[in-house]
Amino acid sequence: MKKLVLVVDDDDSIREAVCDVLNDEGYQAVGAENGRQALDFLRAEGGPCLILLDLMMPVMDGATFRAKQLGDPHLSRIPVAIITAAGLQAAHGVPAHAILAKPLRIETLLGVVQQFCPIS
Amino acid sequence: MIIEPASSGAEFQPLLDAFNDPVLGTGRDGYIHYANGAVARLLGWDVTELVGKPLVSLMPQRLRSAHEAGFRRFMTTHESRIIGRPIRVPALHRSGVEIEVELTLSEVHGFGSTCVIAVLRDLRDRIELERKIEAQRKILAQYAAVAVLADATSAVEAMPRVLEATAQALKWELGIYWAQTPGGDRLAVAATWSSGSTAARRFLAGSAALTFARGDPMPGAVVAANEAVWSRDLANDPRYARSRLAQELGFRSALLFPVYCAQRTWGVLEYVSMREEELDEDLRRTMTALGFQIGQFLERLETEEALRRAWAQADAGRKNLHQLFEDAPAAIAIIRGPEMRYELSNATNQELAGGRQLVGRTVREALPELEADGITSAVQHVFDTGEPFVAREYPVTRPEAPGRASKEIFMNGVVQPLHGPTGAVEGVMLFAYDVTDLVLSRERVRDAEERLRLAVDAATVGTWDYHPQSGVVTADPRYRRLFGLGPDAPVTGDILAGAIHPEDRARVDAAVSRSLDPHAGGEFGIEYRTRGIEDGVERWVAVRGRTIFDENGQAVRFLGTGVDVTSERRALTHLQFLAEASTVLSSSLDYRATLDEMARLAVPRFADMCFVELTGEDRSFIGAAVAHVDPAKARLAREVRRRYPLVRGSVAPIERVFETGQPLLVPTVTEPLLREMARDEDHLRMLRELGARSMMLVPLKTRGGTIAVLGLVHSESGRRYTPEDLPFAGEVARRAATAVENARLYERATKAVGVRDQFLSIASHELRTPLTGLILHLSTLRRAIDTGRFGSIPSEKLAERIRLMDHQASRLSALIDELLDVSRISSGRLELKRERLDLNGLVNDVAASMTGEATKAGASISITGESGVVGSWDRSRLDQIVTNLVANAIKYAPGGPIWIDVARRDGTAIITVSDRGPGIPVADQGRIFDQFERVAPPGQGGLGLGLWIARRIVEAHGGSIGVASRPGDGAVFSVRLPLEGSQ
Repeated sequence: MKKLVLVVDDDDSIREAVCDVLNDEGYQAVGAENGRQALDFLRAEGGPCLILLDLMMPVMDGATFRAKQLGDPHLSRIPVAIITAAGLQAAHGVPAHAILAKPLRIETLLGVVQQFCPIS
Repeated sequence: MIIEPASSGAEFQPLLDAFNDPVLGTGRDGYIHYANGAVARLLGWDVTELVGKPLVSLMPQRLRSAHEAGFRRFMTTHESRIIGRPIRVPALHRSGVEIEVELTLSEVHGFGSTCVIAVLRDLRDRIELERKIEAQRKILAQYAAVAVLADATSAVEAMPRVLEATAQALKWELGIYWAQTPGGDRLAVAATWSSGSTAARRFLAGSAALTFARGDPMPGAVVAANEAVWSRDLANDPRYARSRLAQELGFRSALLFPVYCAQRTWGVLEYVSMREEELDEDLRRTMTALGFQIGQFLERLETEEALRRAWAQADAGRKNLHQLFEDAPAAIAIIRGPEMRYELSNATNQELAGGRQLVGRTVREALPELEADGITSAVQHVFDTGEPFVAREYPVTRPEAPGRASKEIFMNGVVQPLHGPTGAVEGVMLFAYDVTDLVLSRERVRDAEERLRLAVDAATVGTWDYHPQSGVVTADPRYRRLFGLGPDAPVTGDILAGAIHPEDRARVDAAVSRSLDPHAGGEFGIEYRTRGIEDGVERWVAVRGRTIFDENGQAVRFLGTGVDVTSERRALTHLQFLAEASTVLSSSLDYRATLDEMARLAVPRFADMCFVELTGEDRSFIGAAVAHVDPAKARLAREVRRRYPLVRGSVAPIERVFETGQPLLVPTVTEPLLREMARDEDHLRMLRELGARSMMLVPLKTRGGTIAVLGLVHSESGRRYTPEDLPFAGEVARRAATAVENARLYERATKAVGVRDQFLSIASHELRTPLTGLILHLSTLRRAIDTGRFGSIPSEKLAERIRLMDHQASRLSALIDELLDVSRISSGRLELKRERLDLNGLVNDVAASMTGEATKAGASISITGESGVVGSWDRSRLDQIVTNLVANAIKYAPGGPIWIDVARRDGTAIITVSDRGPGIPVADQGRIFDQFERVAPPGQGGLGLGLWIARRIVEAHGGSIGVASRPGDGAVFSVRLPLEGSQ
């Protein structure tokens, strides 16, 4: 069974591109447009092996999502990698397992995903 | 003063010697009985030689017989025209030289005989001073001209008045201002004044059409000479171009001087007279100085004009305040970090630094010259202590630069600490302006002012005489004036004592007791305040005197002189106050708190109540600082303001000062004035309770107009303000205004920097997003090729990837276009390619190109309105605007209908784009057209520049853009373009 990765980003093109890359690499990538959609997905469908999280999003931003995720005992253990375009400082104060800066290099992205969702 | 004669006079010798003024006494026979040292020194004799001489021998021969006759008549009839009345006569010095003196004769009865006491005053110094005062009139003429300049806002307005003021003061028939023609180096008539005589008018008519080059005869040659030139024989002066005209009309003399400043010569002022004027070197120098002052004024006008332009530009750009900061005529820099690195340096500061690279470098690296001037250590001190550094007329070495040598200049300024969130000093802001011209020109007139002051002082010495045993006091009119008494008012010790300021009374009493104590030597010297008995004016007087004791140690006489030292004292306390106020004003950028503090400082020294009424940047009244000697009255004053706020346009005193920008002095606040000020009975009651008796209202002016009014009020103390208080109050107001302006400028600059930083972060976010998509798609394709999987990608999937990459590339390109537009608009390089354009066609094209996007968002676009609305506009720019408005409607009002309408009204073409979205909150409507502003939260996409760019493009077309919206009820954007003039 393919390993599930949740991609949370409000920008269609980035979300789609990341999902495409991961799907090509043999993962099952699912997109969410904001923190609210991501929470809904997690509560309905269960845990992926990694969440890739954008910070600046409408409806519910990355920091709020992360706080709610950590407050939910069923979801709090899922590792999160932050993807940010606003510089690394913006990710300060949001606890995460990895931080990826935009523009995103495919090798870096796959390296991080491989680390949390190893496939032989 | 009256001195009793005595048979020998010997015991009065010390008393007589106590006077600076020469005194002598004669008996009935007209022979001198005694004389003091001063009279001996004045006339070149020893005291012993004088005693026994006939009084008339001290007069020139020609006056002796008349005097002897008068003296005899007086001794028989006791009638005299000159007793008790000072007269001016020549006295004869031992050497035969005549000395002008003021002679006061008094008649004295006692010891069975009648004697005459003569008090002489050496008038030579005074005559010399009067001559100098006469010379000062020229300087007063200069002041009159400078006063005109200070009020004027343009050269056109000022120059005729300057000509009139100076020509009238110096009694010249006519004056001409020859100005350099724009762009050329010729002089042409720019302003004239004449006495109105036919000859003067004909001379002006004959000059009107002439122009002169720099090397031509006068006025041309004056530009080259760069100093004032006299001509006393116009008809035969080869240097003068209009000799024939002058000869024909009878003009004989002319004075011409250049109007110049350090940088350039503006023109030449010419005065012509029918008299043969004496060559007056003083006047020539004065007029050269005046020319320099007018030159500075013109220079200042030009600077102000540049500033006005900068304001207008900044205003057009609204939030583009960085520009304002850049264009400020003062040097402004922000220096940060412990190593003192320049973060910001505006154009004036760059110019001052000789164009050196400052930003990014430390003060020590960039400007090592400042080390020697102490500026570097002053900045360091501000960093270390957080105390501001205030510099007034501080000498600074202007660094050398290509084409200019280093030079000492004088600057006014302040180095202000910038505190970080923890309160630590993180940086400093430096704000300074060049006052070199001011310092140099002031030095020129300081000398003249000093002489004038001495002359005035000499006229204020009064004398007094007190008999402790009888209690009788005599005082001359000058002494009486020190106590606010008229020349005929009765004088007693109690009356004079009652005028002494209550706070000084004990001190004066102690000094009097001490000098009446025979063991203390009898010397008396004290300065104290008096409150005028008749006029209420507060004065500082310096009183000197001496007590004469008899052989029993009893005080028999106590007498001396008194001088008005109010202006010196005033100057001293004013300087002290200004120094304190300046420190307070520059101690913080919280100007409301510092104005409060300043008001507290002014009470009770200069006022019983001090207030500052302040306006905000939008000119609305935003409250006042109030200080009062009585805290209850301060509360009452605040209550009055709360219940009766200021009303712009009202004729009440404070509002009037705001309106006119002129100070207002009310020496005596009267009941009718209070009635006039009060809006109702309650208001009147409160104003009466505040009890103002005298007040001054002074505007705080900046280049933008009157921003506040400083009020100084005397109530309880009974003190009164006089016109001499106004310049001081004006100076306080000027400093306070500068402090408020600096603080506001800094606020705006900080905001501008903050807005810029926020923009940079948004721009970088917006650019990275499409770039990320693009790179990821490219990388997957590259990996597919690398791993040999490329051939197995289905063609429809490949096409989809390419479409997505294409979309990202277009987004990047659109963002870059937007940034380029910003750069073009900000630097004024927006060019319009006007062509004949039908708006109906244009909006149809836009609608067609946007239909795909609209449909995707579930929206529809409808077009209504007139056809044939045609003008000359830039097609691609208008396309950009309408596209932007429609795209906004799709983005912010998704799924609803969108209408585009084209109409023509009163010579204006109007395009409206309406939606049915959530609308725009009223509070946000004003700012959505500003740079870097958007109502949507970040992450919604866009740089927030679309509407700003649209506004600037519409404005470049001479039109306007606006929005009407009620929240929840959609938004209507209208673009108005003028039809006329665009065809």
